[in-house]
Amino acid sequence: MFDIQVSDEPIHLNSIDWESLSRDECGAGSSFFGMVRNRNHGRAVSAVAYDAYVPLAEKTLQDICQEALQQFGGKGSVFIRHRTGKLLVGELSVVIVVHTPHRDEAFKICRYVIEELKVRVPIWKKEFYMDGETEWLKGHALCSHTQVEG
Amino acid sequence: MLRNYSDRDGFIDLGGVSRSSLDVQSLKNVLKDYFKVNHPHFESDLINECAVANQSEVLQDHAFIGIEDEIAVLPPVCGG
Repeated sequence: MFDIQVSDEPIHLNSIDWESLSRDECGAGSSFFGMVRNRNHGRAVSAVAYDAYVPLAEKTLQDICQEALQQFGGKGSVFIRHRTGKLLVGELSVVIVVHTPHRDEAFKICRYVIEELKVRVPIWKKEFYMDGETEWLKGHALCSHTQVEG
Repeated sequence: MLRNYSDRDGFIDLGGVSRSSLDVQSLKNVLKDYFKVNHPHFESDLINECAVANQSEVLQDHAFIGIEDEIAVLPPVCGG
């Protein structure tokens, strides 16, 4: 039902076996792709490095997927790949593919997973700027689940 | 980011801390003291924003840490 991996393996859309992700009872699919963009908060970005506490990251993603299915219909499958390591501009950092019986829950689950991923999964992002500086991005504290950065 | 202060495997040796009676909040206090002494340039109050977790869950402040537990100190997250 869930196929989840957080690793340093590069993500290539053409290497995903899309047909195997679907199921006979699913008539809808929704996907989200995240990739490194070349600017953030007005600064020119050359690369982003992701770090993760992998065991808990994968476990938390499983929990999020379980919650999403329970909340939005109960049937379907979720495929997630999230990168660690240093990625250049344009490289895929995350891919989420959701299959469900109908389109409404496919969209909702996909949205739920990416939004929860950003605030609950122990993954961190360090930006490399064109001027040579680097910075760990502020994020969401897991201890109180509150946002540190606006 | 905390890797800058750990060994190659990501571990920080806190010295002679007895973990048999340590809860999460106490660990955070120990860490803050550790950074104040060993890395004074580190903003030790950032530890307040960190969570403490084992491999399957984030631990509440009152939770006790088992003597065999491998724990992780997790700064605020920003995946995606």
